Amino acid sequence: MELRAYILRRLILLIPVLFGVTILIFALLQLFDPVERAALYVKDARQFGNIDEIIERYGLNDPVWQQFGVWFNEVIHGNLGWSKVVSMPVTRAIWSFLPATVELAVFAAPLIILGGVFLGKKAAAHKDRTIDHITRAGAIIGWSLPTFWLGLILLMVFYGFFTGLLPPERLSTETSILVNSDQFIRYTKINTLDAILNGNGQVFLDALRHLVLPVVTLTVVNIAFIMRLMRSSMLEALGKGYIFSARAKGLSEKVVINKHAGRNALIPVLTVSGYIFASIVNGVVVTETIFNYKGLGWFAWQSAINLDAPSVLAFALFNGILFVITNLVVDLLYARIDPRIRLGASVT
Amino acid sequence: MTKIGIGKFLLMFIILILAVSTLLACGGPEKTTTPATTGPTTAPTTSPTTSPTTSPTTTPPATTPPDVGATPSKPEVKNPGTYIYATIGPWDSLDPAYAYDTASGEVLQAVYEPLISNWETESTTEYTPILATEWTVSPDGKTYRFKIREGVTFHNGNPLTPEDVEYSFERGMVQDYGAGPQWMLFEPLFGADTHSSRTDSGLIPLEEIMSKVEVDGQWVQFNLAGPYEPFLQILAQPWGSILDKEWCIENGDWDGTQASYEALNDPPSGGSPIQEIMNGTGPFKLERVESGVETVLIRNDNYWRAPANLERVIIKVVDEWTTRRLMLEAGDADMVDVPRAHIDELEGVENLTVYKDLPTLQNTAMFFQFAISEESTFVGSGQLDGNGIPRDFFADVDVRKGFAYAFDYETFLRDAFKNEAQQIGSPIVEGLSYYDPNAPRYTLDLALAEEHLKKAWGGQVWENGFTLTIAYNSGNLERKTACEILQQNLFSINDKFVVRIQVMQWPALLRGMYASLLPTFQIGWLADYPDAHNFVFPFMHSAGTFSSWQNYNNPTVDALIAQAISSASSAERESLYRQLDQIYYDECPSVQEAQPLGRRYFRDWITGFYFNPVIPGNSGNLYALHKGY
Repeated sequence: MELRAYILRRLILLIPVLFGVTILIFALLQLFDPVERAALYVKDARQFGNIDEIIERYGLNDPVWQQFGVWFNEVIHGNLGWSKVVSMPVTRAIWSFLPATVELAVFAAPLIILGGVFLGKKAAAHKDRTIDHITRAGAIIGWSLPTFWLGLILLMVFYGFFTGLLPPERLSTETSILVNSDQFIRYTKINTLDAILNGNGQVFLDALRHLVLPVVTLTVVNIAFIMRLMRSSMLEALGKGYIFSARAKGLSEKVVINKHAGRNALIPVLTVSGYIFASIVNGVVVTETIFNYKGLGWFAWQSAINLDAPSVLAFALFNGILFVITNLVVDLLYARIDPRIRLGASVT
Repeated sequence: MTKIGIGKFLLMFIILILAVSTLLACGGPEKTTTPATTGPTTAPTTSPTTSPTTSPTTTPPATTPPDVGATPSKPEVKNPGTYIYATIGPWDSLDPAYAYDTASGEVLQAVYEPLISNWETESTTEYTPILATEWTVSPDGKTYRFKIREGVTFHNGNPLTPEDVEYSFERGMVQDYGAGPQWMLFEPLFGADTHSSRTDSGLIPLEEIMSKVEVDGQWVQFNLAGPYEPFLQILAQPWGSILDKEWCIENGDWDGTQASYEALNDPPSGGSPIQEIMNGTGPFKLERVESGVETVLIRNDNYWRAPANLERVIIKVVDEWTTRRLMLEAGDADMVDVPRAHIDELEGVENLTVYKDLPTLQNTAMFFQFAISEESTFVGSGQLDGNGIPRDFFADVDVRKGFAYAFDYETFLRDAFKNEAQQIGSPIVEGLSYYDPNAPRYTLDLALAEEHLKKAWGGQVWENGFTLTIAYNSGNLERKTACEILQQNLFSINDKFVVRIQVMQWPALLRGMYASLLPTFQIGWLADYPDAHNFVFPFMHSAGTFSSWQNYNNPTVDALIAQAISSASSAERESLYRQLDQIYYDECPSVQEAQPLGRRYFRDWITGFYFNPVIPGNSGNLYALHKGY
């Protein structure tokens, strides 16, 4: 009962958060001159002559509060506006780009989080020994690699050098035609899941093949963070008195590491994991662009560089919801991992 | 649960991925050779036009012989029957009366058809009948009549009628909006001063719009306000596409009433009811749209001519150049957009057909601001004291000429365009009617530059020097190069001439040009239709896009432009445009930097390409393309 009230309270808190975020973005957009914002509508030199009319038509010169009012009124009526960059309603744009990103996140996040936890634990347990040095060096290298560089190199090697081995995009042409035909039902637009639901192995393998490089890129670049965190957190836990007594009472090293130290060390990792998962769902601009894996990251980036206000605002709303919910889930998991944490009580 | 789970899970995951990739590595290439779709191609259909090598009439240098990479054995055709084009930007709208960008035009031209075309061969002056079988132009140049082809059906099966033609043009004008292409119909039909349905006294009455296009039996007649030579060229472009009236109304488009006119006029983005659905008469039908991702067209097997060679056309947006290049090399794309800065990377790549030196109908110029805004922060002290420039600095023709002579055109073409561009004298580029290859032009001449700058502002410019800031948009290497050339050359004439260069984001630069903030700016124009009028107006007329930004105003020029477009005599037009060329040179309101020459990169299994500069996009006429050696 307490827990339910807690969740409800957290969800209600979403409203002021979202309101604050949108006001902030609106204020930032006002730093741009109306002509600069009109640039979104004139893509071609041949349209330049009509900037005045565009500014008038879209109220770009109106007072800020008035523009906000118009936008807010539409949002309340369920209309998030029109995305000029992809020529469709913003709500539909988010829904249409979300599945690709979710698919990427579902594959990459477990690898990053579980892999990072696993390696971090191993490194801590073997502190200052070979395995520790290797993982640490690996982590630093991975962490230091710019995503665009790694992505391009992987693409050049596994798609260019080994011609066509691990291609960019989400599906090959042939599979894409099949997936969009009557013989295939796109339930979720998450290709691997749809392939399973349709019982189509060829589509599943094709989708998986296209996922390899973006997932590897994301993993290599992000795993270091979790690994390092887990390692230090684990080292700290291993120095605690209860570990000493656990060992003293003759528990096996495996149990000590995994159950006693590991579980306690997970708390900070969990916080970061939630953030990492949310960031990937939120879109990974560079990875999505290089592998032409069109997801939310690509959409958000295009909207931002084109000053597409409705898209940017809608994306911020989506983001706000995503992060609040992820944080909530993380908090709930705290309580699950650490019985000392009582959610209902801790916030009062 | 976490005790052993993580390690095992991770191991399984990695093994799974490795297994899949190795599995596919072995099975990969095989797959593509056995397409589940139809066989090689349906019987080779008759070519839509005569061989595209017919020499053009007025359009000079034709498509140069392609460089075909010499390889002993050709790789097997990937995705036979499907043409895949990786481009850089998504389209704006699939409504032919609304769209005004190249990416949209590319899709529109494959699905919809106009009455006539000037793009079925390499020549832009050779008209071929499409949905009209014949046409007449009255001697006074004010009445155009088209006989509508019978037996043509739209993709949904509805027959094409003259009423559809009438509806298409009226509807276009009814739903006209601020940044759309409809001004091109308003100008000939309503007179030179009308560019929109929205006038100072409100909307143009519906009856007036309807009186301009009329059905007469199987004929459709256009009633022009006066002679307007480029009218046929305008009709041949995507905004001249014919729509199915019944289908439009079914989909919530204009139903012919005044109320519907008011409701649909000036629609916001996405406001056109048919902005992402299509129903044309063309060789391809719209199969699927994933906006921002890809657009898929499928062959119209009921086409009124022989069906297209290609079975499917996929146009996909791939932002990253390296990804596009790898897709082209792997054969996953048949054609990609190649930025000029990267053309060297494709040197020596096998299995490509490259077409070079294609004269595009565009130019790029440097404009001088005649009255810099008070708000401008680009003028230093705002005085001719060596630390700035006065706001009317460029109002003195000697300053403009001094700058024009100080620009190194040859170096610019070499460094910025890798010599794939040519210098032109006036805004009228090669390929347009009334182009003059001998139009007077400026060349690099530092002595003459010095002479003019010494005369400028009664000698004050030379004596005191000046400091000003010029700008380019980030990522635009061509404009950056031009800025640097000007900076160096002016400094070499007199070390008191200080030019600062600033890089700006595109929206900020646009504002700088529009709000008269920048002392000089560089921008280019792309043809709507291949007539001189389409270029002299934006560059020279006081109401033209660029000349109004730079506050250039010459009543003589305005009168000459108006006279030229309303003249029914080609000879008269010719002479008027020569006068305009001369004035442009004498007054030097802007300097033409270059007319870029284009390139196209195809996989060599794509044949049938011919270059006609009015075809939107890079693929040429999709109906004429063929996939297979």
